[in-house]
Amino acid sequence: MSLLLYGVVRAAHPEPEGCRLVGWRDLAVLAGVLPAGHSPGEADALAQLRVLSTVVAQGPVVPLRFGTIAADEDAVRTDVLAPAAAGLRTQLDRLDGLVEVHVYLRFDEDTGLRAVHSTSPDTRRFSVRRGPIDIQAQLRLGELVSDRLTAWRTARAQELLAPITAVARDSTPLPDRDPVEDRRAFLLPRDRLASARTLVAKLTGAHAELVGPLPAYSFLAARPERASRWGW
Amino acid sequence: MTAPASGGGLADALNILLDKGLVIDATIRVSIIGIEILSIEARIVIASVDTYIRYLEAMQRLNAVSSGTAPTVAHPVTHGIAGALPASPPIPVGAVPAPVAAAPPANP
Repeated sequence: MSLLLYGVVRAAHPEPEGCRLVGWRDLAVLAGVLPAGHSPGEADALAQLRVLSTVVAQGPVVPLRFGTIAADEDAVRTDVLAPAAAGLRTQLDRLDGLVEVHVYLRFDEDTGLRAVHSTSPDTRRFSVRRGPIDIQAQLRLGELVSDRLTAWRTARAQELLAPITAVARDSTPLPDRDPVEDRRAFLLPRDRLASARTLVAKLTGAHAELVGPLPAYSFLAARPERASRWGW
Repeated sequence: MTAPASGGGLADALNILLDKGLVIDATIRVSIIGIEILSIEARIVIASVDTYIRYLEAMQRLNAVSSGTAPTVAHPVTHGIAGALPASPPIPVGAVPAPVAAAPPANP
């Protein structure tokens, strides 16, 4: 048996359902029990995210990288909490009252392609060529359209999400999956979550989705001055 | 449409656990789901190639629309043929055309 460590909270936090709270002074680690021989998989990741998303609605949590394992509760206290206590307290204070949300805006591809075409001054370069097919050249042209489509959707997303950006403490793009889908993380004061949901629900011009609240995975502070047992 | 922090919405956010979040040196970190990540990346690369060709063809169709030379058939191979012949309805292979009184009889 070992412990899969989810995140760090203040010790005063009530123990959530389905996981352990391992406390040391004013700090505590939320952990799940890993049966012997069980490697953490997608179900464990989902459980971790669910627990932390519930917890973050009530107080700050510093999420740990998935797959962080300690042998037992003593190891959690001596190897995780005690050595990193000062930095963890700083992170918790920074994140107090804040939650992360992800917003995905999916635009219509045809609309985007028409917009790219109508605003491109150089559409002749896309013309059908006679002669042997040059796949590399075709891919380069297709990539050019893709880049312009991405720029179009980013500009439109920024317009639509301006009211959320205005109240967010921070924001950062999430990894791209599709040129017509904008994926973005915001760090919001907890009391702005409801109005962000309402805004996203009422958006027109894109298929919009908000996922949250999440622990602030995307907004952890840069290495603090007194780092010794920390790694990124 | 919004997704509260339910299973469906959270599943979309799962990837942030894999490369974000604090790393504590002293603990063991298990290397996980590496193979699944690689296969996802391979699918994304393949999708890009298809997508790029599709985008180029879209620009070509929009070029034709804006210059007023939109072909009656979309397949690029028949562009030359379709441009040379007068417009006529396509006749399926093997079908017998309905007799039209005014049309001259077709040569056998």
